[in-house]
Amino acid sequence: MAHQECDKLIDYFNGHLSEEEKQAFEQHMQACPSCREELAEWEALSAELPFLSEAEEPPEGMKERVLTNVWNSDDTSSPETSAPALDEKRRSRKGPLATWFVGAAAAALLFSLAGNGYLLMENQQLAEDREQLAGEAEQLAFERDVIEADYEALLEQEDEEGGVADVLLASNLASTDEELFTGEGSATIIAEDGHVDLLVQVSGMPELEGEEAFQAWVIEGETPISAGSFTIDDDGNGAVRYRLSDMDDIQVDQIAITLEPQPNNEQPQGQMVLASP
Amino acid sequence: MDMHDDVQLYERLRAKDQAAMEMIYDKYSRLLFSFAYKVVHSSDAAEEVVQEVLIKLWKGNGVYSPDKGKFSTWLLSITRNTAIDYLRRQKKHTDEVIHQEVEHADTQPGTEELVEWKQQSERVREAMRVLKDEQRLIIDLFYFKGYSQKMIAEQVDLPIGTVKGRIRLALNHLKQELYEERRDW
Repeated sequence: MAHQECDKLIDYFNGHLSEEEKQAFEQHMQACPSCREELAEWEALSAELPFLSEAEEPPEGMKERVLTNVWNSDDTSSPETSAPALDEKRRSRKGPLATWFVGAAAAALLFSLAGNGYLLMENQQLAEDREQLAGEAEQLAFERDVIEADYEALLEQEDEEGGVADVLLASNLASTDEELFTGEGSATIIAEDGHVDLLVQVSGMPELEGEEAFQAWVIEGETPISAGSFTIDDDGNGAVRYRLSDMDDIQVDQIAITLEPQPNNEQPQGQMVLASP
Repeated sequence: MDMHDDVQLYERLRAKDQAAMEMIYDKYSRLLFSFAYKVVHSSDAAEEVVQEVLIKLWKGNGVYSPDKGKFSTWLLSITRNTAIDYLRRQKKHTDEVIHQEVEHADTQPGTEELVEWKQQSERVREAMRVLKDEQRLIIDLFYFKGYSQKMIAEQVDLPIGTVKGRIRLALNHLKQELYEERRDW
């Protein structure tokens, strides 16, 4: 299940996985943005933590020994003769180290993760109350976080068979024009079993006529991407599920529901009825 | 340390320029050695780690590009991986006494390049000081010792499923301290 797979990030980062486990985990990471982001965060720790080391004096003669061994490590003993073609080969070669740095490119994401949204919010909160409450608030927050983290872990353990879904993002969908359209809904992005899914649920929607259908859209910048069509029951309730992790690097800026003349359009033809803020 | 210089040095290194390698050695060997020493706790072992890192660099195992962040961070990551691999090979891990952060007398950096080290060191040390003992321990076991999830759980006496959450909390707390003033995330 997804969580136990995500838990392996520690052993992946610290090189405790067998070659086979490592490959399986790398495959998992391709479908798991939260693992990729966490790995990038961990890799970025090397920008800070190594500086905790005390300045040690390297032993006498180390430079000569080390550099001699570096030159000797080169099978092409004369560096000047190394042909560009060989260098090209080297460049494309994937050494075991290469995989350690899969996420390093995402180091810029260091503080952009959901968990850090929390950090940011808490930080702002703390700043406001800092004068009187800093000490107490921090202590309380810490204890609450510890309890929360342990509780989540317990939930994971309880649910071993079924799999636990992590909510990555939840948003309300509101009518774009309350005078014209009734209805409301919610959009939730969840991570489960290595997939990232968008769940859209609506209620109180206006009745459909003929071939009409509602269609959900994931909007990236200005570009709408269809997330599936759906109809509603007699009470105006409907839902659709869409697998985001099958798409390459999509950024969800907004989620919207349109009323379409027919289902499964490539581009929206009808009017937008519900949208996330 | 100028990132542009490092990128140029790295490019020259890829072209097998021995002088560039020597410059990288001069610039970073003390930092890498000290970091390796913190992980492996022996001068001989730390030298071996640095040598292994530079051989990897020379032979082109693992490719750096500026979009991966600073060259020094990348180099330190390789050093960390190499050092914890070294520990694993030595199987010294389990017998080792837990090394708690202690206050040391102020050490003057020897060269100009080490000024950043000193500044960074003070900043990180300051932030670490605010953490709870357990959080410092978890960061030590996780980052500097490269323990497995199971080993961390045993060492801190936590259920294995809670380890990742505790690491996350400790790191969030650390970052909160580190970036509190600068707010540059």
